[in-house]
Amino acid sequence: MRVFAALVRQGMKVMLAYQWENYMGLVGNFAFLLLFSALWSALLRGDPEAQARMLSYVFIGQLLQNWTFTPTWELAGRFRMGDVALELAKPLSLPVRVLGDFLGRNIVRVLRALPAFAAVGFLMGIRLPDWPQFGFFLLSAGLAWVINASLYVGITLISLWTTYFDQAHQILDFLEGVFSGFYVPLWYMPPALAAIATYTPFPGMFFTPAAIFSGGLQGAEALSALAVQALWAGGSLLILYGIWLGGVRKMTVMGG
Amino acid sequence: MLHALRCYLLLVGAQARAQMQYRFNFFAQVFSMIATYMGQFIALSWLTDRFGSISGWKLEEVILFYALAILAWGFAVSLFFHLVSFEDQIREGLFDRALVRPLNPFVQLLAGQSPIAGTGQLVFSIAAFLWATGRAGVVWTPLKLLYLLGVAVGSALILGAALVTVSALGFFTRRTYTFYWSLVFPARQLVHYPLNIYSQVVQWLLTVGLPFAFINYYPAHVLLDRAADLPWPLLAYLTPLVGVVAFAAAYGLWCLGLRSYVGAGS
Repeated sequence: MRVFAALVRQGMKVMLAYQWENYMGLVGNFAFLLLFSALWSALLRGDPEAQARMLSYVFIGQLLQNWTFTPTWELAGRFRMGDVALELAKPLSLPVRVLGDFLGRNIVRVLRALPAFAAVGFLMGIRLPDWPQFGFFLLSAGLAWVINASLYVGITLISLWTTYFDQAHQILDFLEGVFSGFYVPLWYMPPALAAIATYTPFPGMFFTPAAIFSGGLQGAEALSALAVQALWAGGSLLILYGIWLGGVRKMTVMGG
Repeated sequence: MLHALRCYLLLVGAQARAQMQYRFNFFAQVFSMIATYMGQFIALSWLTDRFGSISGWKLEEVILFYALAILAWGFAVSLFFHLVSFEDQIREGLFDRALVRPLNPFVQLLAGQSPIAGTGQLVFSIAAFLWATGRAGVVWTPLKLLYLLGVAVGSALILGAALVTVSALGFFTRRTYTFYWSLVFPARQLVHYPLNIYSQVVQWLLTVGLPFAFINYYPAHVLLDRAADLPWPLLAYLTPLVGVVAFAAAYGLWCLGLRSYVGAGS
């Protein structure tokens, strides 16, 4: 655990060196916030309660984007250059190091984003949920990070087998885009698909924490969603380790 | 000019041949790009199915906006998308090669990508466009077809101008990815939906500042015979002109950047 904490601190230091990218990323966040808030305001014009809930949902959704950002292309680039041989020589497995690094970076991204989001949230009239609900949100956001990071790092490790990892990455992006609730929350999906999506890992990557924050999931519903999310967080870690261990056995380093 | 064009065609032809040496990769890329856009398309159709319309626009009309935007993007990706990674060329010193060859460096930069790289976007956008125009009951006339051609060229130039500007900023800041992902990408997403859902300020910005509204919002009014609904119907016919002006301005900025270029490490 101490080693993992050291990796997180290292990731934080790395991110602290990239201020410009971080602040420019906020411009993108607020453009998306503008898009989604305008869209949902237009769609829910006759229902102020649902409108307020959706504004809160899209607001926290953009902050979550900073929290779950995983620059896995850097990892794939290292593999392409043959650096994977060096990775194997290190005394700590690659997934642990990458997850620690990404967590550290994400913490800094969120801390940097918070003042701007607080100001925008104030202007938008976003209200924080009460304490137990906010606790559920924090827990859910933590689990969302585990699912996102594990699945995206896992899919990148496919590059230990094949150079076509980009395509696999895009398929995951597609599934996440459709079923995570990023574009359309589960409430507004066709009911049959929403029912299926509930049991996939994708809502746990975005919808569950955003819906808990906005008050769309409360009480027993929130606990049930958290339980599914926790199962998928464990499952995603297992998938990541399965791909890593299988890939290490399979791969051949150039010249080897 | 003709010599540059000939060189450009020869170079991109070679790029296309090189890309087709990796056929499986190419088709996998086409498939995955179609899947990516299909995701947004599905989300859009769920919304419009559920709510019927968005600010007075029906499902098929909203999908027409989306299809027009993706159609233009398909052309822009085919011709200009590699400009997003221009910072790599600057950082690794690869761009210096273009300065010692007897051909305009800009042409060499443009020729650095296979023109079939945007096939996935093009295939999807054409299918979505045909579906949307069919559903929206667009009545095709020779004039409308000619208009569509002008819109396609103008829109590709507008998006191309944005990407050329991103690469020009690379000369001054050594960064291009950040500008694309933080500014151009979100702005492109904004026009996937009808412009009238946004405030007047945003509508003005997307018309004058970053003129992406000319890619789909204004042209869709003509295709749907609703140009008279616009405050200035003339806006619906300006896409080719806006494209040429935007591209010329972006090229001017690029030339300015080239003058101040110093190789990495110098």
